[in-house]
Amino acid sequence: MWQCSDKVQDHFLNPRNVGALEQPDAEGQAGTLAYGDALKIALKVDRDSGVITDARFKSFGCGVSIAAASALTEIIIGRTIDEASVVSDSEIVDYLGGLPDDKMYCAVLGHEALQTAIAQYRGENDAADSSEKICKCFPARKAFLERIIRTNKLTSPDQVTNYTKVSGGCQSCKKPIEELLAAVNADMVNEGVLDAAQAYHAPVKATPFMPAKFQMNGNGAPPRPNGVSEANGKSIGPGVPRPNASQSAGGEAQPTPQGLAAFAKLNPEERIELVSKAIDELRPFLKADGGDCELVEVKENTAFVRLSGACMGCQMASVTLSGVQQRLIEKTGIPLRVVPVQ
Amino acid sequence: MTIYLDHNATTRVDPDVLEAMLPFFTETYGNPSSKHGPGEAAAMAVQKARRQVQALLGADQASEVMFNSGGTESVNSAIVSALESAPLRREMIVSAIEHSAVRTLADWLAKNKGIRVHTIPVDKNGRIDVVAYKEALSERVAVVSMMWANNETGTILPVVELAEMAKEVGATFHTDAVQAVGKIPIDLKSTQIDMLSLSGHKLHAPKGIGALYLRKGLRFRPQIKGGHQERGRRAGTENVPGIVALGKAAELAGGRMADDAAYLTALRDRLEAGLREIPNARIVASENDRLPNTTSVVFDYIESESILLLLDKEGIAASSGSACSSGSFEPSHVLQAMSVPETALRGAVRFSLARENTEAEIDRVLEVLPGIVAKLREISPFGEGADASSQENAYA
Repeated sequence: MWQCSDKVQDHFLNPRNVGALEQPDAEGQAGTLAYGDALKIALKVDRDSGVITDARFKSFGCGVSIAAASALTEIIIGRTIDEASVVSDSEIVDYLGGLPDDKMYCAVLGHEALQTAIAQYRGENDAADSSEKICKCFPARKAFLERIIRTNKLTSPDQVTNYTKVSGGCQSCKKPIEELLAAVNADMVNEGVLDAAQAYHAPVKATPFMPAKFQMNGNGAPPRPNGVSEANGKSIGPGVPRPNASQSAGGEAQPTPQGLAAFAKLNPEERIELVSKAIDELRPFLKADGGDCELVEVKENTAFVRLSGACMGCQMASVTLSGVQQRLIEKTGIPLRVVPVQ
Repeated sequence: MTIYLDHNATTRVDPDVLEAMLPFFTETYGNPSSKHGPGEAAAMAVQKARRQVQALLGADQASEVMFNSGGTESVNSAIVSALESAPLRREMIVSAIEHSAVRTLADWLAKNKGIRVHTIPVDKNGRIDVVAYKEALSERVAVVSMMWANNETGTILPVVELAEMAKEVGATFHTDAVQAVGKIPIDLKSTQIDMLSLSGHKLHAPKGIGALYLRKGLRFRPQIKGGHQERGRRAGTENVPGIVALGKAAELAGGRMADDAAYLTALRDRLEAGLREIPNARIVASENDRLPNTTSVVFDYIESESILLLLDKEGIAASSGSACSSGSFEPSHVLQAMSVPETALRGAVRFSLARENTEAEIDRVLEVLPGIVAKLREISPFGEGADASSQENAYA
């Protein structure tokens, strides 16, 4: 905080326009206790000119959050509702002489609260954002995130976190956020609003190392695509060999849409049979190392397996499992997930 | 002059400790593994420090003390070693209030090594759920890791008893005692604790030095591989000045512990009496056994960081919880585990005292804090006077 601009410090230590208004013409709010920051803003508006004659705020949050709210009231007093409606996150940031990277959400919060107040003033039905919820820890939906990414031209996942707190908790949404950011950035590049060189690309998945013993027929060639794709007479494997199959020794196996659709049609017993056949073909290689693998259960497209023998507690067990998973995907064409059970 | 009340984050190096370590930078700078005079002098100093730490821990043998870089390294090497030593056991048990050194490692082990992690809850006073613990214990458990004292609230866990239960199923018992060592009496030889982690900078030694206690006979798998230092258990040239400092700090802490505890308890009680006068403020886990130096207070409807900033402006350094959790947007997992209500979850302030603190400093805190709390409540949209609707609506 004490590294922030003098203006931020001043607005935190001496916040302007704190409080509520009697009979406000509009009120808006953003944030919650659980979010860790919350802001409530009240406006007095001259009905004839549409000029905001007074604004008050109440804020729960960190120092910068309070400073941003205070600054926002100063920015909008004297402006018309129309002028205030275009106040952006970055205008609040600039007004304060910049904010620390990890405090950008404070400006976003101010902007959101102001927008709800303006919507209320205009009698607009503030349609609830019903888009997909992405983060478990913080309430922020897809449409909101997309708007923040676009208006602030965000190009890194850390920035998305700094502007919204999303993925700043348990991090389990890290991957969906990366994907969303990459998709939005790609759109922005296509629309000509973002330089392609700056756009974010989701990390390229690494090719897992696979020990030679996982090569099914010993010479590095993959199994024939139709090898195990017959279950009860229904062909569910990919019908044609994949183009790059011949060089895919240890490469990423790609599930195919046909395989997935066919798999979905199978009854549970047929699914188990298909997966266990594929596993049976792998067992000799595990047994050669004193280990073994047994299918416990198939739920949707997750196969639960039990590793035994030398595989138990082996440091390489996770490598073994990912190898098994790769092979199963190759053999069945289905995006199977292999999960170990005790 | 800053009023420093954040001693669970780190402490000042004691002048006697600094004096003891300085010659090992410029005079006795030999490598303890060297066979010549300067090397032997350094080795002697390391051995002396080992005995000083042994005495503070009440360990049976000096060789049970292994020096390393601090608490986090200790915790990591202890837990990973225990899992590697018992490869057929694929489960571990931790409490819900562990430091991120343990939590993050446990999450990583669960995700990457397929280890099943049992997290044992605590009640609102920070008391561990012994029934849940007993249920989780089985012969599948490789290691139990429970902190001796909690860094955020000072609550003390009954690790001696918990270790006995762990031994009944043959699990290794590790305790993160970073906050406990030097503050409360520890006598490891009379317990069944297998491993204990400690950190120098929490007891007036410098940062970057710590130790891991390893009970004699326990299998240990070194995590840092290399030379034969520390009996082959932790490779790398010894941090001789740091080790000497930790030894001296251990000696000082042992000698002062009883007096310090009495002094700090009185000081903390004075602080807490004043804090209780502030409306809508609660002392966390006040009914539990706690470290004499730590108090955690939560305020409804206001946010810690702004309290801390205004305290800092008055020259008072406190903390919201764990320094190691700053940077995360999530509220403290410790306070969540202790069922602190949502209205106060974001409003925690931890004061952690040490022998340098005075009554006058405590009085100064109590002079300015009520005003700070009142000022922020005035700004807050929550609490008395705020309409209920604003407390529910979700953001975005």
